[in-house]
Amino acid sequence: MGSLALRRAAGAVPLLLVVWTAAFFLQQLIHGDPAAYVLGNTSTAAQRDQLDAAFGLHRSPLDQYLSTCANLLSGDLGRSWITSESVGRLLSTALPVTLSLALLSTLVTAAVGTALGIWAALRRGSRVDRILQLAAGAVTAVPNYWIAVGLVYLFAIQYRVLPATGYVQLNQSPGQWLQSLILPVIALSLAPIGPIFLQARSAVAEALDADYVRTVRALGIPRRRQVLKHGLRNAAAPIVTAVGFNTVGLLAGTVAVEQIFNLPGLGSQLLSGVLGHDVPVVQGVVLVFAVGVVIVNLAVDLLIGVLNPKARRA
Amino acid sequence: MSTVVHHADSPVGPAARAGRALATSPLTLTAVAWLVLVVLTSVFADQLAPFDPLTQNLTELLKPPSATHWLGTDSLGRDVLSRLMHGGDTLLWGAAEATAIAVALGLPAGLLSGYRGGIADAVISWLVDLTFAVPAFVVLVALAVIYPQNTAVMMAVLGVLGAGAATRLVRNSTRTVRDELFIDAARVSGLPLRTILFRHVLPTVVAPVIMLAATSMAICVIVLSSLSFLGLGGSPEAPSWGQMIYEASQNITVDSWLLVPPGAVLILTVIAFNLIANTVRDALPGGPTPRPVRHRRTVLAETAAQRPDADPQTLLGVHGLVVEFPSGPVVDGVTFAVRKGEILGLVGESGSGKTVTALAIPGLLPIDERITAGSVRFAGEELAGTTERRLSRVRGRGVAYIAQEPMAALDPCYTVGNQLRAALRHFGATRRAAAARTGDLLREVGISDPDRVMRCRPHQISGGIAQRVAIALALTGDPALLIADEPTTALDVTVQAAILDLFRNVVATGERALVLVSHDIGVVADVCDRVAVMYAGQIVEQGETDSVLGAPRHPYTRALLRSMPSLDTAGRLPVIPGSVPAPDAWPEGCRFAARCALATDACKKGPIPLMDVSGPSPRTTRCVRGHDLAPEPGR
Amino acid sequence: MTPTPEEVQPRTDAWLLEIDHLRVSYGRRRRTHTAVDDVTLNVGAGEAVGLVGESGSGKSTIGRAVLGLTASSSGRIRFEDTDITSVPAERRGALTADLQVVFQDPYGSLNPARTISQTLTEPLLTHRAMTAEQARARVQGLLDQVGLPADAANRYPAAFSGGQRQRIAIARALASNPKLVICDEPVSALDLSTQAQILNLLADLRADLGLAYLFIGHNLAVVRNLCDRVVVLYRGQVMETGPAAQVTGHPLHPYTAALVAAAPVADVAAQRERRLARVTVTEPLTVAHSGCPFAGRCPHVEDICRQQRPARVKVGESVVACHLFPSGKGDSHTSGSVDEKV
Repeated sequence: MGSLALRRAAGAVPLLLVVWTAAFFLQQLIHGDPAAYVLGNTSTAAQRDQLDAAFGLHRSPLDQYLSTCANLLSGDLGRSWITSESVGRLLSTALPVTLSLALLSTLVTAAVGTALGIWAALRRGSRVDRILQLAAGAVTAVPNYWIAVGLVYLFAIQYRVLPATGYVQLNQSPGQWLQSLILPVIALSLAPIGPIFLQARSAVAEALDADYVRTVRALGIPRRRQVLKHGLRNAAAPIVTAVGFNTVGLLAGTVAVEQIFNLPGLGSQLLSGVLGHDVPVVQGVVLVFAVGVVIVNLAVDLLIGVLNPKARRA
Repeated sequence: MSTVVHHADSPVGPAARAGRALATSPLTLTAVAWLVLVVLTSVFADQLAPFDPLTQNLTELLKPPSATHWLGTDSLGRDVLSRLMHGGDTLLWGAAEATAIAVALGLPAGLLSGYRGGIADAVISWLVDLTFAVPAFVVLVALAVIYPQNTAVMMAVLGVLGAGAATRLVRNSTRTVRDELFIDAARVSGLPLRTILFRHVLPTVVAPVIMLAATSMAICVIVLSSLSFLGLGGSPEAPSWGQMIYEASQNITVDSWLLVPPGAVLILTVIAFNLIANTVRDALPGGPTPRPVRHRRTVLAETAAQRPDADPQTLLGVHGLVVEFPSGPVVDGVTFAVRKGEILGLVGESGSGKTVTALAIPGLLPIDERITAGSVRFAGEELAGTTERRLSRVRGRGVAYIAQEPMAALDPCYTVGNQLRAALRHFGATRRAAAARTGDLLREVGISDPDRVMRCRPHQISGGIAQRVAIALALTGDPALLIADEPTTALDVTVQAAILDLFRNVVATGERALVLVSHDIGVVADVCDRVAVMYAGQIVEQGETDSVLGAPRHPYTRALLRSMPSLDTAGRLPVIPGSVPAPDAWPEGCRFAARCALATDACKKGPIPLMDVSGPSPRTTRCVRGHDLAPEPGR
Repeated sequence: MTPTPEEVQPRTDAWLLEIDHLRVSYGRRRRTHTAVDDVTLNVGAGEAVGLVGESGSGKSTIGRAVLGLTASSSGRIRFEDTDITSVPAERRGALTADLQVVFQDPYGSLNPARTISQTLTEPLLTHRAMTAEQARARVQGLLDQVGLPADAANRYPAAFSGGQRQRIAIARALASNPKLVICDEPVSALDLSTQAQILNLLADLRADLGLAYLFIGHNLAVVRNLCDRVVVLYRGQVMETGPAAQVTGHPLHPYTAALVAAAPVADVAAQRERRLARVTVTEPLTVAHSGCPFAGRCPHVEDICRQQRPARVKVGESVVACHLFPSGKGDSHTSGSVDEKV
């Protein structure tokens, strides 16, 4: 198992390198002087020279690339073109926000999707099952930003039960931390619950139809044990795959949701970086998200390895 | 000599089937109609829209829907309906662009990777993995730092990243087809690669690609609208649905209505694409089979249920059993009894109803099959139509079931030892006793190295060992009756012999009985004391095995025995013409009459009852000429 | 009077198909699995040779190697003196017409999206310059030959039962007037009453058209019914080869004997006798990798069986690979090992 993890992790390195390189060369696509691009047309030549000098933008692209790579190896993601702040520090304050959001949403989607999936699988063909299936199709089509705005209107403006915007750190007040995340997590989780539900439903249903469940049924073993020990265990691998796939989508969704709820996460950093033409910040965020996707995929691979009986030796 | 089986709808290729599924589902038709409407209004927005989408009217700010402004006006007094009609244009074009790029790249790459395999497959798969590791939406947002509001570039990038999913899908479908025997047959016919790809592979890939394209449209519409919500996609001048939602969010404290029209149009459009994708997917081979129909439990006629058990030695009495599928009956009035210490064979070809009969006894029928008439009495208790709770008390302890595929019958996730111990614990053994008994049980079923087998998962043992384990599992509750459904069909003949010996031992105590379902008359001759021959849902002949096989009193039994090839002779075999009728084609009279050499008009008049033709031992046959079939001399 | 080796294994040029020391391995390095292990067998023109074995015996792999659907690792396959060992099916050109196949699964072997007529004309239009009209006439002739109604041509495979599909598959194999048809378990998926129909059809076609069969099967009685000679395989190796009646009636190799004894017959009294006489062969948990592959299950096993692979010895009209028949001490003949390679 350990060797599989190592091999997979090693395989991810070239992947990240490709993403990082692409992100770096993004700045080479700027037409003309990057400094003019950042500072605008009203800037003076002296201002532009100062920026060029501070960030070494006059050097050849390869030169710049190699030095940023060297910096990256020592953990330095560069500095913001606008504020000169360290991108690493900027992102490390934003990361916990996005991480909280993503982890909570993953837990919610996995739990709700799987629970509903088992429930529907046990009632296949019933009216509840059909309604749930239609609902799953419908929620998948709802964009998270639309539902986020709707939630703000309903719970923060109309009924004033939850804060509309802002973030409270976990170590400041766990209660308020949770409160500040309830609406964003709902907005993020709603759409992915659909596909996870559908996958869980069909995987559990398939397992319940399998011969091995009939074998335990033929022994008079209670339904609950049939479903939980044999049905769910055999359906686990496809469910984990679906959860992982949707977690990747959910990571992307944090950009808009953080914006709406005014959460100081990576997505907000990305947007302000984009609007301020602050290329190093944008590059940094892209790299962090890429690492996030790689970690999710790695976790899914390893979990599947553990869950798939044929991968294990007796 | 053969007749063509006519089917209601003549089957066609997967693509055509998907097309037909689209055209016949009302929901999907609505979805298609909605998309046509959206596309047409977008294309002809200039002509159709009642107002200019950009004209501000400061006297008509945030008006609710009215006769002039059907969907009201926004914070600058612009007509919402007109903005909606103009707002789909860039969105749909952008989504189509990305989808077209994804398919154009993914289709050839997937075909190459799937059919050729090898290095091409390895390289392409690595590239596909790469696209899956890229946080696509974040990259699109990041692109805006260089190309603000440039939808075309963003969609091109999205298309390239989406090509990964398209490639994987096409590759996997191609792989599946490549392993089909008809591809092998085409290769053996000497068809060139080009012809095989275009004629046999491509058509099966079309439907999955349509499904993927529809899904991709749905995703791209959401992504693109998200970008314009964030102010990054498309020109800020031109109206778009995402941007309208953004404007609504800015006015949410004043007027929440504005959130509704763009949201509804957007969501409906995405749902429409998803519906089309689902319809195509369900029409694909391997898609979900028609929804199972749920039956209520049957209340059966009391007459059969209250019949007293004639013989105290009778363990199981099945009387007039009828099992129906949603399409109609498949087991039609089956009656037999099993005594303690006896092995009864249920023998027949596919479609005879033997397996369904076996499953019906312990109430293990699939969800859409049910007992609609008759009685199943086991040890004085009626099992037909009873509750799952009462059945589960009888199962395992009273009646145990052994399936045909031993590998599939054992849970792949748990070791053999775990499954046996769990069953023993269920039957009341302590943890310690269960652990001890597991080894003994495995030894009882003839496994010489129980400790090793116990630690194995099902895929680590051979089929023969797996069937021994399955038998051990069935014995954990010390049942009085074993029902074994084709227990040796999946096994090699040398292993079969050993398993049959094991069954003989299991029943040898005299307290246990076995119902053995088989299509193999040789197996029946080897272990069964009595045999019931089934044909088209009925028992056609029943009696002691040596007399039934030695001197059959039903033409079907006789013809079947004659058509068996033997180890001692070669040459042409006497055959039964035609094939077994399907349940919906059962004739009213004798169901074998159409294939029978002895058939007369009397055979076709009406249902043939079972006739008693007992000699020294009890014997029944469902043939009006049963008495004419004199025992063959010399047998 | 015993036959000379030449009578059992006549001159090379008389054979239609020659398989010499064929080996097929899957996987790489440590995970290599040898499905076919040094198999030598021949099929003469118009001859029906049965290839019998249980699951894992490699019988289907041999068929696929001959057809060019599976690559061989070593050895040689010759068809009418042409070496086809490493020529995949696509590159065999006109030769594909002579070498055809009927597969086991009548459901998978026909493209569900193509009509019977489209399926049957495919091989006709590929290599023979036939007009559409000629091809149509040929399809009708083929359908008639396999006992299907003329209106079957315009239907799709789903409209037919398993037995009827197998007739269609046979018609496709016949379309190019082959000399040899590989029958890969063609009746194993069929019901008893249909099986007899297809076996009779195969026998009739062979008599009418002078076809040769390499008939792959697991049921000895079926093979005995149709074939002149039988080759018994176990774990990729040939255990015994001989005339069909000889192999099923008087098996020499303990494995063949076990196979014959284990096949149940539909006569209670006869089966009781067979059962009492048979020696149960157990299933070993491990398989030895040197020596005789059957050693782990053989009732006559001796030390030498686990160490040394037995040589092929000619005994009467049969050839057997078993240490019970040491080379040089054959039944009555002194030709000894028929194979220099052990």
